Amino acid sequence: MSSDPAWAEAPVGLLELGPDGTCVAINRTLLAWTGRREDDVLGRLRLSELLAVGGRIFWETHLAPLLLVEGRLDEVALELRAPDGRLPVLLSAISHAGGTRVALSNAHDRASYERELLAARRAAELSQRRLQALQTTTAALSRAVGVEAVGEAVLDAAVGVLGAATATLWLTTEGKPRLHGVRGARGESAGPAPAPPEATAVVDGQVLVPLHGSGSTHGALLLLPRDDAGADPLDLEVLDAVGQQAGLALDRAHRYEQSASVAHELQQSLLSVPPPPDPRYEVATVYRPGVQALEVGGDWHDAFLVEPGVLALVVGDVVGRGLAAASAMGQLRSAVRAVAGPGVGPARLLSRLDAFVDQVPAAGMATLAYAELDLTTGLLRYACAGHPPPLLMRASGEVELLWEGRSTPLGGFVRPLERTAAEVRLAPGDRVLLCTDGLFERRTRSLDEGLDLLCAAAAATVHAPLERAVQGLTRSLLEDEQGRDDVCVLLLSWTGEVFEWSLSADLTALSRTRKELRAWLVECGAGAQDADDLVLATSEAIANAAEHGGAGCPEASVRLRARVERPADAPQEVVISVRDHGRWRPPTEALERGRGMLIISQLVDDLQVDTSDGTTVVLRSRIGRASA
Amino acid sequence: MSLEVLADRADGVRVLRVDGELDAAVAPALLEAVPSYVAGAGGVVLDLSEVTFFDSAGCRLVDALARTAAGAEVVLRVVAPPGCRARRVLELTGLAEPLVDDELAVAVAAAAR
Repeated sequence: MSSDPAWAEAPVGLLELGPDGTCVAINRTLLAWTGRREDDVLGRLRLSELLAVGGRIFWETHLAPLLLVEGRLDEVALELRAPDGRLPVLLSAISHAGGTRVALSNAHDRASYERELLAARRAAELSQRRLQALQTTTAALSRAVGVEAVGEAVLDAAVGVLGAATATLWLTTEGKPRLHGVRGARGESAGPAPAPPEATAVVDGQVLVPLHGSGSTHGALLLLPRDDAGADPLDLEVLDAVGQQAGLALDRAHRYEQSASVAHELQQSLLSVPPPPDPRYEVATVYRPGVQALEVGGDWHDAFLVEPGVLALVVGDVVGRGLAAASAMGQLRSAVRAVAGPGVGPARLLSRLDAFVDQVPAAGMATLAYAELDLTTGLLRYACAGHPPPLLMRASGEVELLWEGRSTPLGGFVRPLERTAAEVRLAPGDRVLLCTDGLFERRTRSLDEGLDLLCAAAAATVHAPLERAVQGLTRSLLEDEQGRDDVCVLLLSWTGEVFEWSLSADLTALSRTRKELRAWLVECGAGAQDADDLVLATSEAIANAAEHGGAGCPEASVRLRARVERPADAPQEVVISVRDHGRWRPPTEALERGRGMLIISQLVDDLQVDTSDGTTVVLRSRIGRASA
Repeated sequence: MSLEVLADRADGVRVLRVDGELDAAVAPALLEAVPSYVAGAGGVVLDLSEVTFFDSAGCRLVDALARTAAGAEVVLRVVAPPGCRARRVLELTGLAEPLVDDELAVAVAAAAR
């Protein structure tokens, strides 16, 4: 057998064991591997004696019994004792009646291959982790809007995917380093700001990463490595790449903030023009920019006098966001003011705006609700170009959407030959709400559902003071919303004809006040007797107010305010309030004061004294007859 | 507003004639002068026929005159024809019934007693 080359020269080591386990045959290949002579082996050595120590024990305790039971072994990794150390082999064996046949294949190459494979896998994993860290960080940086948000993203990544124990970030503002924040386990207070190096460097066991932008350096990130067992060391290459990405993100953030602040300023400057004060109406507004993106949108509200006694109300929405939308909004807003005028009216105003929008593409498809209120009569004329309908809130508590006067958005290809308008008459105390769709429109519900919610929310605020009403309404409707869209709300209250007067407590103007009030009452339709009685009652109230409110303080003032209310199906009623800042003593305390109150109470239909803030006396009397 | 003190009549009755607006702005000055309006008179008549405005401050004046006159044991009468501004307020405050006459002559006759 030993002379057969297929046996002797086989590329594997071959061995024949006798029934007692000693070698009875061995081929040349195996002799060469083990550095032994055939005579030393045959009939003398057992297989285990050819193995290195570990393998020998393994053979005796485990493999030999297994072979006995199973009858075979397959590809067991073992090591041979070789002249120059140990040789890894794979052993296979088969038992037969006369003994055991054993084949050993050289596993040296395979072992080194496996080691290489392992190393390659580790390298690939490391590279994968680096790539992932870099990608995660880059994604976080690109999501961050604004310098502060980029700074937060850098710190989050540093103690997150980048594996630092503590991270400290300085950002450069106007050439000076400013500590942005410290993040991490140790929460140490930051030292002095380090000068950003040219490239990522190790300084005193910490890693200092410069944040270079394209033109300037935006700051530096100092990282303290984790010292717990098994922690990966900080990866300088990845950190350097993150530093570059952060630098670019800060470039973008600075550019963005500049543009956003210009747009914000533009919008604010346009929104902050208050309507002229007039006792006959009040306007309260809310402008809530879409906070999520920090970007301004094209929503606006406006209120201005078209001519004396006619107030224009506008809420509009230019499509898009950012500087372009804000500036288009500004142009359109100015155009509305320029086009509106005596005799134009809502319908023709919209037609003229179509022509304007044709010249300003950024304002195309803008929507607009426009209304003109006659402050004397309460007649409201309105038109909507693709905009949500105005909401009429009656003083009586009824709420109604004004669905007439509708046409397409401004500057659309499809547009009506003539824009339409509609009108409704307000009663004193009625309110009108104009808003952009961000107030009630949500992707998750239909438009009608949104409008129903708007009506319900509006109905709940009918009796609240105007400013509180508009704030409460907006808050309740935006509870479910995370500030995705701009929201513009304008709430108007028409009080009708109002008489307002302020006089000093020395009462030098008392006579004149009576004359003016009487003239106003007659103008409002009061008969001579009613007017005289109301003037007398008011004069008494003023005299009382001057006496306590202005006690020892002649320059203190008494405020008089009168308005007409026209409840449905009832005679019109005059409501007069007299307010001072003092506190009344009980009327019985002084005979004359008691007499004054006695006179008042006999002259008016209702008398209320409110002492919650100063003292306000409210007189109510019907004048004239029901307007049947 | 003005308050004119006419010369005492032969029967000792003194007539005080007020015109214009008698209100809280002017009443304090008149109240201070009340003793002088009554002093030395044999009876006092306050003529409010020409008053264009009258309120509780006017009532105070009437009240003060009545009190002072009673102290001096002379009679005070007030002239306020029906329909005039003062009459309405005096009626509302219950002063009309004991003090007010419709015409000056009636008041003077009553004050002379």
